[in-house]
Amino acid sequence: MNSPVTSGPTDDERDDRVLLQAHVDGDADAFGVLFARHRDRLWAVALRTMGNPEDAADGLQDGMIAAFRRAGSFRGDSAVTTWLHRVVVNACLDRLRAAKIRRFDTLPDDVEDRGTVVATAVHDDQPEAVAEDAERRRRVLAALATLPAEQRAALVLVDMEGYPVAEVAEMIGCAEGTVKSRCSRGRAKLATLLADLHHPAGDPPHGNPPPEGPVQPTGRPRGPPAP
Amino acid sequence: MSEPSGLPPEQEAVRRLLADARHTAPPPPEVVARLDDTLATLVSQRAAEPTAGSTAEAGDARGDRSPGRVVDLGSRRRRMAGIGLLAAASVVVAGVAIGQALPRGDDASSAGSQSDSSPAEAGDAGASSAESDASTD
Repeated sequence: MNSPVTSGPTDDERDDRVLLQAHVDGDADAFGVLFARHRDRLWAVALRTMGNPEDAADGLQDGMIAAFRRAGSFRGDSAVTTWLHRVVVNACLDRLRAAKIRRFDTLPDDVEDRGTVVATAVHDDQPEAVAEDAERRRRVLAALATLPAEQRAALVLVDMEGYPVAEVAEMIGCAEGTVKSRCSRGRAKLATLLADLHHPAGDPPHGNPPPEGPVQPTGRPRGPPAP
Repeated sequence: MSEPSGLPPEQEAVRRLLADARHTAPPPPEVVARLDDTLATLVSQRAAEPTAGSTAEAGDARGDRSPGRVVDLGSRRRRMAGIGLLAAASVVVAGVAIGQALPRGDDASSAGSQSDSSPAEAGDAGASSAESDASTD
């Protein structure tokens, strides 16, 4: 029997529900295939909810163990990915509540948030833009970490990951109105903390104009006039 | 992706900032390795358990708490509900039996009677209790 792995793509084309049922029925590889399929997004949610890679790894592991054991409780009234997110988010929130919210540690200069490295790679020929993006990202994440865990989780799922409010309500296990309320209160707090960062829609982009610029040379050539 | 917001400008700006801060990279290799190791442990522990569709129930019966065990919470809830019903029924039966065994205030001759009659037959039992007492004297 191959060792189950959560890493790398697989050729298994079974859909999520079939895989989950296969796991409940005793398939040794099914859960690994299923988890690998959604692992990256689950990691992103855990990381942004917990605020640091160490706690995110703990929370994601807790969630994976819980999902492995409770697979039989999945009723099929939502998508499997929604259920997986719910299990992981609850595991992360449980850790946060138990730890009375471990404060977000500012990333040391020599340890990059890999998301920042990837996201700013497209600007590697614009060092100022890279630095500005990194600093803005750091400020946003630091501000996010100051929010209560429930508001933070709601904003991570709705605004960062882009899940619909209805689906997030299933993930968190509350009413849609509660999700909206948490998001609204969280955004209001962040707006105060990040007032100098956000620009209303329609503002011109910041930074230096491109070298070529829109200015066209005049018809007159430079230089002394012809004799 | 994100739903149309209809939010105040400052909140919409915060939404954009959050969306820009979305983490897009996969987990670090050490996290992946840790998850793989954990999953392998779960799978091997489950494989080491007795097979059968009632693995979860058998595990519960033994008080098995091994981490690899997949628990069917639905069957567990149904089983607990059945146990609760049995307990409640036992209490009711015991209460009726005790009630039958206790002496009745207006019929001292029925004291000590070992009547097995149901409450519906209490009237007849009262009439026959004198005969049973007579037979036991």
